[in-house]
Amino acid sequence: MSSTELSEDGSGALERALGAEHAAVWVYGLARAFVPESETGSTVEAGASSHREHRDRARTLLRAAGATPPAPRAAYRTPSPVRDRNSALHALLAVERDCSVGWMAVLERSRSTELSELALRGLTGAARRATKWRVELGERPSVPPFPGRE
Amino acid sequence: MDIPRGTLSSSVSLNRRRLLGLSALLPWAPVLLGCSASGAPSPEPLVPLATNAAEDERLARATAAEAEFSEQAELVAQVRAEHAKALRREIERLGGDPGTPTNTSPPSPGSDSTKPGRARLRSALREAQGRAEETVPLVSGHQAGLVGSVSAACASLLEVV
Repeated sequence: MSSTELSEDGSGALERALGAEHAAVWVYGLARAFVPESETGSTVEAGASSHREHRDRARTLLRAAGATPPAPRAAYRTPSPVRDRNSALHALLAVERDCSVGWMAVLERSRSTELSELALRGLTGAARRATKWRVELGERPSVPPFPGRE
Repeated sequence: MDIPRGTLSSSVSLNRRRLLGLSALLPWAPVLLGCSASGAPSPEPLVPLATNAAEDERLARATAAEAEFSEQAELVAQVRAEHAKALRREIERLGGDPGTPTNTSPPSPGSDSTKPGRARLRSALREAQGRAEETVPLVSGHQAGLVGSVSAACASLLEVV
C-alpha cells in the first residue's frame, strides 16, 4: 500500500470514521449475544468482520499519512441499554448510521483513489447493513434516499 | 454493566454535530476541491446518472402495478426519484443542462423486457449502483458524496427488492 496524502480535514474525517468503526466493532461484539445465530447471526458475523477490516484499513492509512490513529474506548454507550434482541438491533442500526456519516465525510474530503474506494466501501456496507436492521425492526422506509446524509 | 463516560451516544452525537458543521461549508467546497484538480467541476459526469435515476423511477412505477411486489417497487420509485431530483439540481447548480425529465421512452433495455418485474428492477439497480460507483473517481467534494450516496442507496435497495 502506498503512502497516502491526507489533507488536514481529510485526516480529521478519517479519524472520526475510524472512531465510528471502533464503536461498531464493540457494539457488534455485544449484539452477538442477543441476536440468535439461526436468524440473523450470519449478518452479525459478516458485519463484525467487515467493520474490523475497515477499522484496520483506516488505521493503516492514517499511519501511512503520518497521523496517530485514535485508540478504541473501553466501552460505548448504546442508544438504549442492550438487553434483548430488539435493543441489540437498535444499537446495530445506530452504529451503521454513524459509520455511514463518517465514511461520507471521508468521501467528500478524499483526494486519493485509494481513500475514496475505502470510503465508498465503508459507506455502502454500512448502508446495506442498516437496511437489513431496519427490515428486522420493521422500520419504514427501510432505505433512505441518501445514506450518510440522513 | 458499568460503562465509563465518554461513550457512544455522547461522542457520536458530538461528532455528528461537527460533521454537520462541516457540511454547512459544502456549497463552496466543490469549487475549492475541483479547482485543485482540473479547474471548475464539470456537471457532465452527473448527467447520465440523473437520466438513469429517472428511468429507474419509471420502471419501478410500472413494476409497482404487480400486486405482490408493489411496496418494494414503490420504495425504489421514491428513492430513485429523489436521486434524479438531487442530481438535476446539482447539474443546474454547476451550470449544466440536466436534460428534459419528461422523456417517456421505454425505460428498460430491450433484452430485459422478457424478465419478470422484480428481476428487471434488480438488474436496473445493480447497473445503477455500478454506474454511480464508476463515477465517484471522476468527481470530488460534494459531488463525490452525492454520487457515492446514490450508489450506496441502490446497493441498499437490492437488500429489499
